[in-house]
Amino acid sequence: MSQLPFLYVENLSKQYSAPRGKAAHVVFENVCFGIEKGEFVCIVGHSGCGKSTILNIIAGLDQSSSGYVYVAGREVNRPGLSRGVIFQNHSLLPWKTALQNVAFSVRARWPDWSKSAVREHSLKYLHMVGLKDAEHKRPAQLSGGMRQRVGIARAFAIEPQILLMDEPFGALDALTRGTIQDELIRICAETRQTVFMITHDVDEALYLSDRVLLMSNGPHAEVAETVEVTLSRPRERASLVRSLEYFELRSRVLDFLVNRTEGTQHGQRSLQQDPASQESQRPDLGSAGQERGHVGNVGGVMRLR
Amino acid sequence: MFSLRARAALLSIAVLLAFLGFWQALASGSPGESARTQYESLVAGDAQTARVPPPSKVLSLAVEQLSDPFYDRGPNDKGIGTQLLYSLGRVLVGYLLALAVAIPTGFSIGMSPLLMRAMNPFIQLLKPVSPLAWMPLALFVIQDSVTSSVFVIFVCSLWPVLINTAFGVSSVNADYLNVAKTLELGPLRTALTVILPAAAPTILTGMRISIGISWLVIVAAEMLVGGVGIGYYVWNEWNNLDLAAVIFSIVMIGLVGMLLDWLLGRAAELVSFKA
Repeated sequence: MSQLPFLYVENLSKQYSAPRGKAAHVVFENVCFGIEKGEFVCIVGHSGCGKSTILNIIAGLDQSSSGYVYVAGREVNRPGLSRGVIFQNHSLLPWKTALQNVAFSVRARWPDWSKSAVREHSLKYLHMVGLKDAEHKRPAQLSGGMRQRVGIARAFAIEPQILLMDEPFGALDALTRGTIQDELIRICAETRQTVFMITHDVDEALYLSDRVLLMSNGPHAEVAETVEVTLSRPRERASLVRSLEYFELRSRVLDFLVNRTEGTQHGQRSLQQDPASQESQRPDLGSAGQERGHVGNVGGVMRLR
Repeated sequence: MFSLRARAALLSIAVLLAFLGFWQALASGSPGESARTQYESLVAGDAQTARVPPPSKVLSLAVEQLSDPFYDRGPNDKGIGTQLLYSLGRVLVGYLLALAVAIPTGFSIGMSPLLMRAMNPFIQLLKPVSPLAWMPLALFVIQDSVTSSVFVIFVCSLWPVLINTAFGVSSVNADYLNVAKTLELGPLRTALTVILPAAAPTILTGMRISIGISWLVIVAAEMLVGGVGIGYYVWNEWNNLDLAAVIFSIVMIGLVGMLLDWLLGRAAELVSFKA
């Protein structure tokens, strides 16, 4: 039997039982993909297709209706230090300083380290994300970008086997986003971190990742396509924009998002979806309960059968 | 112009002076000097007691009492400082006992939706009962007046802290709990390092409310049971028709209550954070 990929998601599906005898609402099904060690994989798709749910299931914060998740060959079904998570809203503990937040995670990972070892390790990662002088500030005193950087430092500091990121830059402005993306690439190159990231930003997905998974819309959403990002590293933003290869990849992904996200098996919509309205959907916020509402919102024509 | 602080201070002082002036005028201008029959002057004696004493009298009494606040001339004649300390002592004992019971209980209720639903009817039923209504039952069971008043303080401090703790714990942001989960923290560590700090501001609000209620209640409770304490002092002075002492006590009660609230307010600031 061939070696399983480092992260292997097998036949994952999620459904919610509908009340009063109606058929169950299937968010996604038969989701199957693998991520090798050191790979950076992004998943893109419209709001409500279930990307956050997949991430939460991998993280152990949510349960799948069926299917399994394997990390390094072993099944995982609850949260753990092997999978670090960067949440969409930083989720820093607001009563702790930046340094204390990172140290909190480090101490949880290595409980028998000395105080100075924990502090040194935490400072190293804070410096890595460019927060040299902000270590004694609480999250309320930091800007959005800085908070997200602390979240990144905190996740990297525990050196997880897999890093899961749920639209980590969604709340940031474009300039800050660019800066932090570059830092992220640099850190990932240094630490050879395995990453699984959700994003709405096609450019971001192509800039950061080795592979992009394209997810169709729900109900019965699935990973419809995989795009190998063959752009050579290190990637330079300025030259990338003029690269023909980049343009082709980008067109391919956009074409999928605009034209081909209709469910192939079950849902032929009665009304044509307006691409403009799709682009402006709110990013899903990673809560399983909200997924349901979003599916109802997309196109406005989903009917629970 | 003057800063807001300065203007507010000036206004406060002006209001105080106006009030004192009004009070002084009310207390001085009296109809008592008009003609009395011979009989009336024989039995009425020095009819000062029919009037509220003027602020000057209260002030002189205050100076006299505060210059020697801990004097002791017998069981029924102790200094104002001693009275206040006895009351404070009872409040503290009852209050701390209430914290020891309410915070862990509130924590458990907050963490368990089952407990929350099960205990809620009892809490809602007992909460509106005036603490003084517990007094007869307490006196009968405990059979000691001081312990009964401490018990009454305990009962009245319990509810705000319990309810606020349960609320604070149950409404901890799920994100923080997720962080704890992904770090594989055990339930005790999660409770102490994540839930408690997150709920602390709400808990301290409950504590602040409780201390205010406790101070209110101890005065009333002491009026009922007697002994050494500011509540009994007020009632005793009323029986002596020494209204100046009564008014002075009111001011002292207010000052101590203000101090207690300020202390809890500072504590609340220490655990507060901006989400």
